[in-house]
Formats: sequence, structure tokens, C-alpha cells
Amino acid sequence: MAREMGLLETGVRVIEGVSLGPDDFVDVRFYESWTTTVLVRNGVVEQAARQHVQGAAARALLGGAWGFSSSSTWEPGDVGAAMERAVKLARAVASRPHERVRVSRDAVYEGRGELQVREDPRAVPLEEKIGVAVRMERAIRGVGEAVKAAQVSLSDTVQREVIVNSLGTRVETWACYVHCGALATASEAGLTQNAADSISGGRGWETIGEADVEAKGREVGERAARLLGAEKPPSGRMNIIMDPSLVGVFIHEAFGHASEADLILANRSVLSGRLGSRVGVEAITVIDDPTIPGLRGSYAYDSEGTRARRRVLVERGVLKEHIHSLETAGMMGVEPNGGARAMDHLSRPVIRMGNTIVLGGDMSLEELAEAVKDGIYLAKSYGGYVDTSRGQFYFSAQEGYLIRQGRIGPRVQNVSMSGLTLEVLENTVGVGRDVEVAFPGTCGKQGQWIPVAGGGPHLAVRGVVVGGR
Amino acid sequence: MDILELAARALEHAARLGAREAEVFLERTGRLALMAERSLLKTGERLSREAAIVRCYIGGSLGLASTTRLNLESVLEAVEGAVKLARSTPPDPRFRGLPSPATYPSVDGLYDPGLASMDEEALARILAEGVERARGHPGVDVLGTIALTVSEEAVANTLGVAVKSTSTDLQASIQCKVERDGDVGTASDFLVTRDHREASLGELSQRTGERALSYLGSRRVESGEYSLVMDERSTLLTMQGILMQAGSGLQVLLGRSYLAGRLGQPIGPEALTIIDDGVVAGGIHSRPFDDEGSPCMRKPVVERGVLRNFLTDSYTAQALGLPNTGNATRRYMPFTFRLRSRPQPAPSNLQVQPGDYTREELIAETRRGILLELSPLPPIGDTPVISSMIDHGFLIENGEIRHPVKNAMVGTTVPELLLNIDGIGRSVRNDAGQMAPYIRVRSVRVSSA
Repeated sequence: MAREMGLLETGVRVIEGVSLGPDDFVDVRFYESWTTTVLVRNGVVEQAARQHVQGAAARALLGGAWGFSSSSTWEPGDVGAAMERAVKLARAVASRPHERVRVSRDAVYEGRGELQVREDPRAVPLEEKIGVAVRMERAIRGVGEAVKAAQVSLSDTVQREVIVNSLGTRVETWACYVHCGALATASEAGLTQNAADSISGGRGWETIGEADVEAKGREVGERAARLLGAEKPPSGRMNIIMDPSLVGVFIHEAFGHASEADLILANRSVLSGRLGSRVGVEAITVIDDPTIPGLRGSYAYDSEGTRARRRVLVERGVLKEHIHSLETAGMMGVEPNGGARAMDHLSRPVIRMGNTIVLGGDMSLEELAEAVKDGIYLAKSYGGYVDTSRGQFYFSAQEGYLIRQGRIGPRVQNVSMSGLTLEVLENTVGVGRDVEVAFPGTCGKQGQWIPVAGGGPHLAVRGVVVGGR
Repeated sequence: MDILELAARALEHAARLGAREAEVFLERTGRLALMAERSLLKTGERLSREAAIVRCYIGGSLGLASTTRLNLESVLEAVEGAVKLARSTPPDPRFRGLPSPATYPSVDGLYDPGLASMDEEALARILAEGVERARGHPGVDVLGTIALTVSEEAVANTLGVAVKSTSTDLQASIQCKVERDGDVGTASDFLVTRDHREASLGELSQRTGERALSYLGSRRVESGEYSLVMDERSTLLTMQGILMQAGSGLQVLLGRSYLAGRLGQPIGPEALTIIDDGVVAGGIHSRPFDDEGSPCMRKPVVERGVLRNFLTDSYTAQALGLPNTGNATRRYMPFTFRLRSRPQPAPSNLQVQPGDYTREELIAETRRGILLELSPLPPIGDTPVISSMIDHGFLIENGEIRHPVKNAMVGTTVPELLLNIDGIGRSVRNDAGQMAPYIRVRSVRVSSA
């Protein structure tokens, strides 16, 4: 086996074996991860699992066409064979009418992104992890008889990538994700309600150590139980307030994805051709920042070895920047900004967000409610999706509250919202001052699942379509 | 080394280390894919992946470990990891035992040498034809993918199960977009087959391009009650979403299925029959055995409106006292998630049986409705609540299709949706063994501007 100290050398040797033209490009990415998971449901420890994944990915851009392949070992011969397959495929695509891709040659880095943990989860005994999950699950069920099912899923992953490319990049980067998710199902008289939340971060086992897992479990159980007595939501076009978790999902799904430059280039985003244009009211500024330490979307270098940096997507309502890979930066003639991430060695780097956040304004929640007057307050996201081509999105919330005459009132259940990306930021009537990164998520794109985070302050928006059962 | 021999060595090692029961699932997959963007070929991808997922039980305690290398050293290391984990894990009182050897069905059409021999040139020709046909419509921009997969799977356990199977499949998708004066129309479709004679995207792409054009000029509709006429893909994906959750024996066992306690009871109209067929010839989810080595089979889930079966694996079947339907799978999980998960019951090839109506009759008899195209209505999480955006739909008024719909949401529940089905189409779309007709659902709440 190629020894760990020799990965950069292995990569360089493989790259040097490929004959390249002036616009051609190749890279090799070594990937390794260690994951532990514990699953507890309804008082039973159903599963403890450990997984170690290791492999290498090879990309070749020849004659403007991409080839990609992988190896399940780090053996120089196997990695070299993966590169040969990538080269063959790139040449096969280039031999037919094809999109002519070029990569930016402006981002060449040598460096190391250290593992930013105080306590490495790989060193934590399994018994301790099981204990955490059991305590949290017990706290959910402890809420009372209304809670009919409880689940806690704990996972920690330490991940390492070593990236070498033909432009001279030589990078090693580490990341750690710890996640403890709680799910409660309450039911009564044929009515079922779910509530979910998690303790999650891009740090070490201290993510769990510093949290009160039992309090989080109780909170989730209580939310599911109290939703049983909530009213049905109204429907139609109305004014809304989104809490920071909904704002996190909204800004990630509806706006962040539309800011990904691969979708812009592929003509699959409503933001195509709008750089420099107004897309929201002046109070709106949106960033995507992987360099904030300890969040779920934090990283030092992306999967192409580009150093991550803060991206200001919208500044005072004006669209300023997209999220880029080497390819999209090259095609659009801008500087790469470190937005290409890969799930593993079997996946190509694809443009993804890190931590996407709406910056705070100056209003309190009470002031926002007064600005809305009559409408609905949506809290705690329960997922969503977006059609970036048409700029149409949908999210569901775990709970909502009616707003009447400027005051937040009775609770409602199963409320969802749908809207048009370009209308929401334009129709924002108030921005709260209470920024919270309240959406720790796992984002799916092109079959790859990547840890991300999102958040912001409370936002008040007029004229959003709200519905429910 | 043959993968069953590798599995046998792993099981011997597990037994030596003290595992009371053990199972090894092995997979070796090759994938060749091409992608086109902005109507031109862009990327080729050739991946091979291997995995061994080991489950070891000691006194009812499960340890699960995996490796992405199919050599003896790595697999034995995974066995050691699983045994070690099992020793640190409390017992699962629901676990009764892994499946025993059984008689397995013969399933035709899983492996096609014609598909297995396709190379990048063959795939490029198919994709290029699809892209050309779609962009034959003025202004249509095409994004397309095509992927050929050849895989070998094996399952063995310490009770004597030792089975393996080889399969091929081809899957492709075409997404079209057209833009005129700031107005956008989109449409997409997919091909899935195990037969190289069906490996063509021409007609599918032609229709998808036409449909993208038909979505120009979308308008908002009034909030209120509508009938929904759901196309075959909307029907299939909605039923999959419902049965993934409420039809799963695991969800019943965990107290999360709203269909628990409803076996033998009506849950839909008499015209509604849904089969789960794990062995249909050439079915994309067909195979002789599931991820635990239990035999796959064809069985009704809903028969003439009555709930007949939950989908189970050995764990849920034993805990619930139900038959094991051979539906254990990790198929719905991304590859790296599979490596750390037990298989769970999920639908194989769902087949919603045809009814009496033509598509034209379903629309003509609708006074106020929305025609849904590739717009599934899955429930939210484990709840029976359906609250979904209409991705692609047309307003129907007085039996006629009027215009595409913009920014509208459907709100209902699974029981209401099933009971309000008042028309089922007589022809079905068959996507490699997954079949569904058009259906019509009356009185559904739609929220819009």
C-alpha cells in the first residue's frame, strides 16, 4: 500500500504520467473517512456500526471534455489505472461534438487544513456514544404517553482528502462532523404529528459534550405532543414570518442553490444573467461562508484543493457573486472561491454551499409581527426543495402560529409554504436582529449528500403561498 | 476469489470469534455514465465500487462493520470490527434470528449481455440522439445523462444462506428547458430498462421537448377544491412514497404507520389494487433474493381497496408475527450510507393495476381540476399529511385543459387521497416492471395566490 506520507508523491507521479495540452488539466484526490453510528428506537439499541472508506478519484480534462474514474485503493498502480480510464473517457467525449470546458488556472494552493477538534470522536468509546443516544431517546419518551415513537440517530465522521493537480496544487484537508438527531412521533385519535431536531456541528465530540442532550430530547418530544392539539392552518397567499431555521432552509434551498455557478452555466438557475442586479430589498445581505469555525458547512479547502473563502452572494439587495469551482470560474472568467465539494472518492466535486446565512437587521420579533399585522409565523423547518430553473420552492414547517393584529397567537400544525425565489427577497418587509445558524442539514445534489448549515434572523415577508392539510 | 468463497471465509472467522449468527452482504458494481449539458456531451465517468457489509450478532446484540475492498484481509478486518461492536452493544429484544436457506425463484431478464457489452461509444450515440431529438424543438435546451450498471451481489449467513446474482441495467434522463421573454417552461422524463433493445431516448426526448414548450405561459389559479388527474409517473411515485412509510413493516413495528391495525380493512376504493412484484421479468428492482437472502416474491399490498400485506424483512416479520415478504433492501440509501446500515423493508416493483377510464375520459369528466405531470404527492415524514408543491400541472376547466399552473400547493392526507380516488386509467406506463395508470382524485384542497 502507498504509505500515508507518500500520497502527495503518488498523486504527482500519476499526474506526470499524463501528456497534457496547454488547456488540459488532471487531478487526483485521495479520500478517507471514519464513521461511527448508533441507532436507538423505542428504547432499543438497534444498531452500532463502524465504517472506514478509502479510495482515490482521478479527473482528466482533455480537449475540453471531462473524464472521471476512481480506485478503491491508494496503490500507485490502481490510482494510475483510474487516471488512464479518466483519460480514455475524456478523449472519447472530446472526439464527439461536446461542450468545451476550461478550468481557471488562478487558484493554486499548497497547504493543510487541520482537523479542528478538541476531542477526536474516533477516540471516544462506543459505550459512551451509546449512552448519549440512549439518554436522549429516553428523554423523548419521558414526555408522556402521547409520544408513541422515539428515535435517536448519532453519527460522527472524520474525513480526510489529499488533492494534487496539474496546476501545482498540493493540499491535505481534514474535517469532522458530529450529529445527534432526535425524532418524536406523537399520535392521538388517529392524528399523527412528528417533531425533529438535532445537536450538530463541524467540531469534535465536544459538540455533544457541551450540549444538553436530554433537554433537546424533551424539547422534541414536547413539540410533537403539543402539535396534536394545534389548529389546522389557513391557506392562500398571506404574510409570514420565518424563524431562523426556516430562513436557513429558505436561503439554502431557494437562493443558495440558484447561486451555484454550475446551475447558472447550465442555464438551470433563475439567477442567470442577473449579477449586479437587484434581487432583494436593501436590508438583505446573504453570505455563504465555509470559514466560520465549527459549523456543519465549515471547511478549509474544497475537494479541488481551492482555499475556501467567504462569499458575499447578495449585498444590500444586489446580487454580487456566485459559488464557483475551478471549471465555472474558468468558464466565467472569475477567481475560484472554493465551492466544489465531493461526497467521497466515487463522486466528482460539484458546486455546493457551506454555511449560508442572511445577515441580521434591526427589528425584534415583536416589531416584525407588528409589520406583518395578519398572517402566520412558521417555525422549525421540516425539509423542502427547489426547482432552480423556474425559481419555485416549497418548504414545510413543523409548527406555525397565527399572527393577528400584530400579535403572535394560536399554534397551527402541518403548515407549508411555496413561492418564487425572486419574489421573497423583494417582498421582505422586515429583517430581525437575532441571527442564529439554526439549520444544520445534509444537502442532496446529483446523488451526493454533503453536510451544510444555514440560518439568519427572523424574516417577515408579504404575499407567500401558505398551505397545509 | 469468488465472492461466495470470500463470504464463507468471513463467516468462519465470525463464528471463531464468537458470533452467534453472522451475515455478509457483498457487492461489486461497475458503472459507465455520460452527461450532456447545454445540449452537448460534457463528461464521461467510469466507476467501480466494491463493498462487504458484515452483521454479527452475539446474544441479540448487533455489530455492523463494512469495507470498500473485497479482499480477504479487509473483509476479515470488517468481521473483527463487527464482533467487537456487538460485544459493546446492548441486546435487541426484538431480534429473533437471521433468515434460513430457502427455495429461490428464477427471475428472467436480470442480465443482458447486450447491455453488458455496451461501451462509451454506444452510450454516447444513444444520449446524442436523445439530445438532438429534444432540441429539435425551437429554443429547447437539454441536459441529459445515461448510465449503464453491471453488478454482482451475494448474501451468505451462518445459517446456510449462500446466494449470488448478476444484473445489468440502463438508466437515462432528459431535462428540457425553454425560455421566451422571461417566461420559462421545463419538463423531464427518464428511461429505465434491463433490455438493450429498449435502449433508445428518441421518442421520449421528442415528447419531453414538446412538454417543456407546453409549460410556457404558466399562471396562478384560485385557491379552492380541485380534482387532481395524476399522470402515471405522479401516481407511481406517490404510491411509492406512501408505501415506503406506512406500508413498511418497520414503521408498523415502531408505531409510526397510520396503517397499523388496518390489515384486512378497506383503505381505498374497490377499483384500487397495488401489487409489489419483486420477481417480475426484467424488473428494475427484481431479483431472486433480498439483501438478507430471503426469497423475493409477488404479493398484493392493496387488493380491491383492502390492505392485504405490509412489506417486511426477517426482523420486522418475526417481531410482528407476519410473513417475511423478502423486501429487505439498502437500495434507497446512498452508497456510503449503505455501508453503515441494516437493510430495511421497502417496495420493490410497485404495480398499480389498471382501471376502466381512458386519459381523455378522466379529463373530460373533470369540471374543475389540475392535471399533474411528474408531480408526486408524497406524505411528509412519517405522517399521513400530504402538502406538496405542484411541480408541473395544467388547469382543467369543464373537461378541457386550459393553461399550465404556477406556484400552487396541494394539501390533503393519505387516507383522504386514497379514499377519494374516483377514476383509474385503463393503460399503464411500464418502467422496467414498475407500473401505474393515470388516476383521478376528487375534492383536494389547492392553495395558491
